[in-house]
Amino acid sequence: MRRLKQAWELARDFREGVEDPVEHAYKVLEAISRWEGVVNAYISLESPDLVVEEAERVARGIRAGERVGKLAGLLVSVKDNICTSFLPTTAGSRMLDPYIPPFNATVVERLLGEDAIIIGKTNLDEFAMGSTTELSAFGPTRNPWDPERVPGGSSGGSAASLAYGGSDLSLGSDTGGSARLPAAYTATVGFKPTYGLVSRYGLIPYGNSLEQISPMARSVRDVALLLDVIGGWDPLDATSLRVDKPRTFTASKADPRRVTICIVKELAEGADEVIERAYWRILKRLESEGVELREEELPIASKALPAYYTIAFAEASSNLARYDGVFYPMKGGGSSWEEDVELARMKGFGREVKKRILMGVYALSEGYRDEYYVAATKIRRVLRDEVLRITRNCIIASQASPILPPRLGERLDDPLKLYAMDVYTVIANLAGVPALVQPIEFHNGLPIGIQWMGKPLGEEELVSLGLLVEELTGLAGVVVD
Amino acid sequence: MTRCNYYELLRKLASLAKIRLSGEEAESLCRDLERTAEFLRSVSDISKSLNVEPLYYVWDEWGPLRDPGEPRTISIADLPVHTKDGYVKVPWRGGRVEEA
Repeated sequence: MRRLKQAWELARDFREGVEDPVEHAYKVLEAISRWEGVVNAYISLESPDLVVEEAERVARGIRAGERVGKLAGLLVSVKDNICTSFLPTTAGSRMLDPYIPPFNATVVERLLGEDAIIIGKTNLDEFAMGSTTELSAFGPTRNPWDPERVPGGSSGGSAASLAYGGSDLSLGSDTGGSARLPAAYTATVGFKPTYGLVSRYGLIPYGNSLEQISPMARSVRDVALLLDVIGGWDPLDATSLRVDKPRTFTASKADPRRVTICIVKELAEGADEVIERAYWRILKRLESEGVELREEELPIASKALPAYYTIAFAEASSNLARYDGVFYPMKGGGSSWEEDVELARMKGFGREVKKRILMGVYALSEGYRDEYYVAATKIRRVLRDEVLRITRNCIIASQASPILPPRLGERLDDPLKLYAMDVYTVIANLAGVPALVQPIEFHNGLPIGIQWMGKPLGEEELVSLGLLVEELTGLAGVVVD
Repeated sequence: MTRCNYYELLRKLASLAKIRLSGEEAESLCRDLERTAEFLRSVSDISKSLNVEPLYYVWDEWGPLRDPGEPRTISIADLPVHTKDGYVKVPWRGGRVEEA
């Protein structure tokens, strides 16, 4: 393993003339050409000439004393379910290959507004439905720390690009842990913001009452930098909160004597032994620094996973109804409209997507709606209220994943085994609260992460705690050798 | 195929969802459907004892993050893809929206 400069340090050094954005762009392009053949983190890449041209433009601006944006010269990868008008946006599906949206997502506009260079679109499970990034129509992404293993999903391409140095920052999306699970598996940081803090305009929807576009990076300060750029009210998203732009980048490291961490029994237990040991080691370390540890209970957590999947399936069946073989690239070629739609959906969707749509139709259908969908939304209310109660006074410490990164194919034969990987992460999506995953240890060369969950709009506190933990672990900026 | 109890249901769901399934695919999806439905049904029993209303929007009725006085709708006029005539440009296959 080796350490790279953090993105915020790089951006500062570009502005101060200490580092050259062009030289840096060449280094990142070199890492991509070295690793992409194995890892497959990207679905589409910007032309190297254009990337270098952009870096030269930034360098010229800096030399001329022009005011440049906060991300000037940084190479940012974007998950391929976030719309870009200058690169195809496929959501990892044949259905949208090769779809070029007519507009940029709000988050992309905000990146460009701060002079970021968007280097490419990253691989994902089709329509973000998966936890391993094996279910992409463009082939699986492999974990740079061990290419026989998955990088987690569905934002596995974003995490993998960071882990081998193929981007400085990345945007993922998180419906039930899709940015945080990959972070745990690749020694990167994934930050799901409070529901509504980041605009979803231009995010291809899967479970829209649950998902948020999420910053990903190799350090806590870097995800904070990215969150501050993309966060804040957007009139184009009806669920966007009317709050000020987040200011987390300037957060200082937490004073351990002023931090209370709640250990929720249900979110601390059930993981593999090596993961549980790592979890307790970092908590004891924090306690020895002066952090107060407190015990809490969340019995409804045992129903979070089925409640989450019921709601996600229901929303997926509705959101994916738009793919009818008329407006988007995949055509059915049938002899009637009905047949055309059926054939387009048969050819365009992968097996997992079909299954989730069918389950969603089932959960919403007359006679079953109360038993499934309405029941799940009631559990969501109880869970949200309980999480809000707990996070009023403390930050929840939770496992990020019950297992180390699995080998490719290991979790695909049984749908319940695949869904169980999200057991700790879905809670933050159901409750709408912010959650941050960061690396704490390595075991036999494989990363282990921890998850912190805070109160609504409590992003700054999570960043402060993350900085404290990062100082203890020394794992900011690590990449594979 | 006959061993899967959900085959008839699968056929109806596929018809509602307008998805055509091949024989092999239907067989494996049927088994997954049976297993997943069983898993999801576990929410049903516990919810019967919960005397609460469903939660569809996570900040529903939760004051600090809501501004009930403000309309929560998006006007077509706000969208950057409308034409001078007020029509919304549809993202056609692989196309880009021309300037209105």
